[in-house]
Amino acid sequence: MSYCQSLSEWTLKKTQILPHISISRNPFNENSWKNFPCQIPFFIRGVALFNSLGHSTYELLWQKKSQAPFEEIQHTADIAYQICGQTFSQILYHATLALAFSFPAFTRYLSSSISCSSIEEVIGLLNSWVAKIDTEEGIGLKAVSYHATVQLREDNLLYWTMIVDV
Amino acid sequence: MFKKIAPATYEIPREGKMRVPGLVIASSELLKLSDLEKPLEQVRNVACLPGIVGYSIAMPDIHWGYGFPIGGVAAMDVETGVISPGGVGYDINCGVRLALVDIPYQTLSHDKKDKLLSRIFSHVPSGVGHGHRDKKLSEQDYVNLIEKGARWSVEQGYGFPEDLDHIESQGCLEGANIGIISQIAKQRGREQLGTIGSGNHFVEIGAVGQLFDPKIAEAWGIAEGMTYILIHSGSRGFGHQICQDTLHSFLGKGFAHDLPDKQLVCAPIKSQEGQDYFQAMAGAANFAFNNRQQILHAVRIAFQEILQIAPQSIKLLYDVCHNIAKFETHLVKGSPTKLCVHRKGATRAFGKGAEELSPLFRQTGQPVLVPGDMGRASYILVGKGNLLTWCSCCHGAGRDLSRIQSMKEWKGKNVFDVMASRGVKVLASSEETVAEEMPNAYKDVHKVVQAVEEAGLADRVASLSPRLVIKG
Repeated sequence: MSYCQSLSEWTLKKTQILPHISISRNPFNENSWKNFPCQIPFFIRGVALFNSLGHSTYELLWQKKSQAPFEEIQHTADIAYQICGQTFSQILYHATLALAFSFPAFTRYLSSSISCSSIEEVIGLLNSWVAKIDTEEGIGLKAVSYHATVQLREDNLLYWTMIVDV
Repeated sequence: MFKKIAPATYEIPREGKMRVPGLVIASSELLKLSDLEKPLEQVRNVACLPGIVGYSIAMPDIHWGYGFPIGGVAAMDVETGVISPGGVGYDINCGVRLALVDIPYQTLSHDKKDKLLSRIFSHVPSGVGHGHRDKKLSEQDYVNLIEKGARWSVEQGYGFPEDLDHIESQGCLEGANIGIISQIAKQRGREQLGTIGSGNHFVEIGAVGQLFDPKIAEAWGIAEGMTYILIHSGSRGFGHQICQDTLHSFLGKGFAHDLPDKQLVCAPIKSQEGQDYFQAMAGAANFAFNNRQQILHAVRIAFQEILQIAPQSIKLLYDVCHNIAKFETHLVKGSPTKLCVHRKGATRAFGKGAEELSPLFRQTGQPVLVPGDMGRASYILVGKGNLLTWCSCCHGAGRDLSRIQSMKEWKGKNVFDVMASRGVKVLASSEETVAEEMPNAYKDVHKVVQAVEEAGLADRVASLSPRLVIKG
């Protein structure tokens, strides 16, 4: 939070800078972009401040990288993600975010105010949403598996491998 | 690590808490080609379950699964053993059915083939969220279909009574109980009967290729070049939720205590919880039999509309389950013993003389259907009743690439055009699904089938060449 605050204060002081966000998509198709019918989840892996020198030349002034909330990992038959978070509630939020990338209906369950105290609770909630989405509009996954081993690593973050049966 | 004990048959010695050794059916080539670290760890874990007899078995299409490996077989003594939802899988009674159309595929014009594919695509909902909005199951429908199995669909006009003799267990698992199935499961399945779903499920039309056993092929009504219909689907959201409900309940009761992997959670077969799971699982199995019965009906109607082929002349050869737990009697140390055989990504392969089979198949052994991939081939085998594997066989080619790897490989390429250039026309609700399911994502089915033949599990009867494919 302090980092966000100092960044925004610093940006406001530098009034000559035009704050903007660039979103890249490859291959870019303008029509599919305009017609995309649902909210698109995204997360920021880092913030960089460039000084535009003109002619598509930029000078890097400052950057800060951040920990990705999830990473898709290899699984032969199913889909798997490495989810990280400071608490089980954050693990839930990040797991929902990960699922929302592949299954956009999960965006409606993205809420940082849901609290969880165990990985079993996280899995239970995710699966209750799977059932709801499947009933309402269908979903291309069967369930989030009970692969429930959580590791606390040296960076003081919890890591959970979420395996989704598709 | 492995000890070869017979052709294409390797033993994994007991270690640690393993109650029985592991058994891997594979050729030496497949063992070298496959990444077996995780699935073999799962084979060892399964070997630790209470009441397991014989071996914890891996088929040549084995890959990493949920608790049990996919391509795994484990038989438990009903008196002392356990039943595990992870040994069946989320898609209870996922399976395959094959029907034969007595018309040479080559005689169909391009125009007719295109129309046929489009008509099937419109009649059989496929992909995410494509169900039968106008055909919702009522509570009474659920009671009937769970109790009667595929017979219920036949009574509703989906197919013919003679179909039932060509379905494993005559399309009905005894002992199903709707009373213990949750409302959420029923809600999930309400609009999904007669739908394929997504993932690796499909409807495929093609031509029978080479005949390996002309005598059995003739007995089963198979001729080289004739048209076939292959359907792969399961119990849809209904079965997924039953698995989920059971896992939640078992884990909440602490049944995973002392197990090497929480996902092997199980209950004694004789306990109330074990009985409840079996009864719910049998309900999902009967849903799946009805699902495939109704999909075949829709395909038959498409053939009638486009090619004027009478539905009754399209003969169902067989319908097999490959995610199931069943009570079967097998010889254990020379004595007939009742076992609960878990087959997850594995197919029953009863041989000649098996009492449960209908008269035709009792004379030959049962058909074993092995879908490969949508580009290369599938196979019809005949079961040999192999005792080491509790009369089981492989269920497909088995994945080789992860979905992400396959997607990356085909990114930016038109997968429909690629398949068309190989002579296979594909229709799908999602291009992503097709990219995930491209032929190179799977092991070579020829090698897998060769391994089960060498090991004496089943023999080849005919190969199948896919030509028209509908994916989810």
